[in-house]
Amino acid sequence: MPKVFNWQLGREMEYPYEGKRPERQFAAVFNINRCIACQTCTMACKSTWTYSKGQEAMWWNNVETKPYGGYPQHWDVKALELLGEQPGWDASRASEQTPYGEDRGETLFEAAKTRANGSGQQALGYLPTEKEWRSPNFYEDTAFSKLTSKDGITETGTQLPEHKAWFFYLARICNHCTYPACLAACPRGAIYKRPEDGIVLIDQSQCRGYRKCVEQCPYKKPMFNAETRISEKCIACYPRVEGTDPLTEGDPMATRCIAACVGKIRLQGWIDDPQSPVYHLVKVAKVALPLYPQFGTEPNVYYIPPRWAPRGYLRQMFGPGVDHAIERYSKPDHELLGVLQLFGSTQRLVYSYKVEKDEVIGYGKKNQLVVRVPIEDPVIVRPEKHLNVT
Amino acid sequence: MEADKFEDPTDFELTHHVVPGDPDRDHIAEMAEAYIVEFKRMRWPDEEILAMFRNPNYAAPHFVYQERGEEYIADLLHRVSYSQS
Repeated sequence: MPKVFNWQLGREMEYPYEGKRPERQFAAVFNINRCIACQTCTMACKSTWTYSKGQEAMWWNNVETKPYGGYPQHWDVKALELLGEQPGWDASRASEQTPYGEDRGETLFEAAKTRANGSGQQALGYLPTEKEWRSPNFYEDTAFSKLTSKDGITETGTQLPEHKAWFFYLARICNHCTYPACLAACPRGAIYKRPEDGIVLIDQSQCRGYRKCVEQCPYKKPMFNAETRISEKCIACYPRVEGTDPLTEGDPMATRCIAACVGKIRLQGWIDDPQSPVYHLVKVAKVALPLYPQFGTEPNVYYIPPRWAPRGYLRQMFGPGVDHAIERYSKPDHELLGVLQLFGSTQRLVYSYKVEKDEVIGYGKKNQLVVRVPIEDPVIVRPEKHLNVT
Repeated sequence: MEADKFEDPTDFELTHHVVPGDPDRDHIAEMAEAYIVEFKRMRWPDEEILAMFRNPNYAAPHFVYQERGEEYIADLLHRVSYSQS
């Protein structure tokens, strides 16, 4: 198997194809500290792409409640169990190129070779059961149906089991991995990564519904459509990224889930462009971390971890950068505060930015101004002679 | 009425184990404070943030509201505002 370099692991690893990075890599940062699971992102995706027959189970975007939730149920627990206990990262090997140090464990690709040789699997995986796919948010604290008033709000609130010790919401789309396990798994070669932006797509005309992608993607984001008998997945709203939406006259736009987020938890950009605000969050400030980097796919959706959750759980989920990320995020410097204000500030894709004393300015693809946001509102105290009523 | 043969009767029962938090931390209070800091950063006025905590459709903030009460949230809003000024 060829060797490729995975910067999140800080080492080379085995992957079925030669390493070839795209011109630019699609990336996004999701700030978990702001997510209240309103599911606007989920519905924005569904109303744009997955609204027709056979798509009842197609949740390209979902928001799940950790630690009990998951779609399909238990996806991460099962992937972690398959991988087994791992030794983690050697932090003493950290450098500018390898910010978390060097991983001493085994990726899902390497585990498939050592533990599932002859199975045909390129990445160690499993097929979720029908029951696990039946509904997003099963066992979670978001749904209740008892109506006591015309607006549907109940006196008692949630009825389903809650994990009352702590919980947080994890919004998920396809990670458009640098080394996608779905792409490696497909025996038809129907999955490809676009050289211009790194978006991973399934060629619907080539797919025959073998479900190898569903089996081997550890994040379980390719989904088998029982009606069409082929698999589908998040397409990163590529027409918007290409700038073909008439609304902006050719200017690239953020995906629907990112643009629709009312909590302004999401920001889209390019992971390999030092001008991009996403680059700053991931590689400079290091407050945004990959989801389960130990799987080895180099995922490109990054998360600002929730400040309130137990650190051990977060380290398992986001790797060894958690402590630094939370410390830095809790006391943001002026530049970081500026970049954080770009979240949800415009539908247009912000390619570069400039942080000034009082505001942050975002620029588009052609270096044109796309947004201008104040960093902190001034506090104005009215003189006592005026009535101070709010 | 005949029981549904296709539905496992235990499906809706909690079968999971609690994942313990850190014993010396109040995770729920930290979560409430984080939400307030974040929504203030988005320039939400205190009254709207409090309304979000009151609304059972937003399960996480409303969970804190149910567990700790409105006075607790109002006090937390005041303390966060004071620490930011």
